[in-house]
Amino acid sequence: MSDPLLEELREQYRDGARVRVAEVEALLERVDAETLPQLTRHFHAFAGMGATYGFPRISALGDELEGSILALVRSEAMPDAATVARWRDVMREIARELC
Amino acid sequence: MKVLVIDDEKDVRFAARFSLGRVGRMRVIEAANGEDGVARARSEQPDLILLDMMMPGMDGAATFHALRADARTASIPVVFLTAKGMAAEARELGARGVLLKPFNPMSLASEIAAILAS
Repeated sequence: MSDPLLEELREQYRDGARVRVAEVEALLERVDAETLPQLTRHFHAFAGMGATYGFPRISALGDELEGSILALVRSEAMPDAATVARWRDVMREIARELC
Repeated sequence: MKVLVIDDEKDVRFAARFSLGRVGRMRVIEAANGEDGVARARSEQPDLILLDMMMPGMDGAATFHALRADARTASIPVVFLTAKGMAAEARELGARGVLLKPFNPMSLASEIAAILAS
C-alpha cells in the first residue's frame, strides 16, 4: 500500500483505538459476567482490525486476547487473576503500539 | 458493483468503504446492525453483502438466516467478513465465502471478485 494511504488509515485508527484501550483498562478493574461480553467484543475488535489499519502487532496481540477469552466463554468460566494480569500486560503493549 | 457492509464496528465499515470504494471503485453502503442490514438489503438490492459474525443483538448468523428467508434478498451473495475465532462457525452457515479480518485493504476488492467468480 502506498505510504499516504497507509498513513491515512493509521491516523483514522489511532484515536479510536486509544479510547478502546482506556475502556478495556476500566473493564479489567471489574471482570464479571457483565463485563466479560464487553471485553470479548473489544478483544475481537483488536484482533480483527489492527493489521488492516497498519498495526499488525495489535492484531497479533488481539488474537491472543480473543483466543483466551473465547475459551473461557465457551466453557462458561471466569478468568483467574493470572489471566487478568496477562490481559493488562497485553493492553499495555497495545497502548505502546499506538504511540 | 454495489456492496452492502453490515458490521457494528465503525472501524470495519470505514476500512471496507476505504478499500472497496477508493481502491476497488465500488459503491459501498453500510449498516451498523443486522436489522438495518436486512432492511437495506431489501431496499438497495446490493450485488454482494459483506457480513460480520459477531454483532450484538441480531448477530451474523441470525442476519444471514433472515436474508435467506426473504425472497427479496435470498439470492444476494453473502460473504462473511470475520475474525479467525469465528471463521469455522461462519463457514458452517453456507455463505458464498468467508474472508478473514484483518484484511488487506489493497486486495479486499479483488478477493471479493474472486469469490464471486468461483
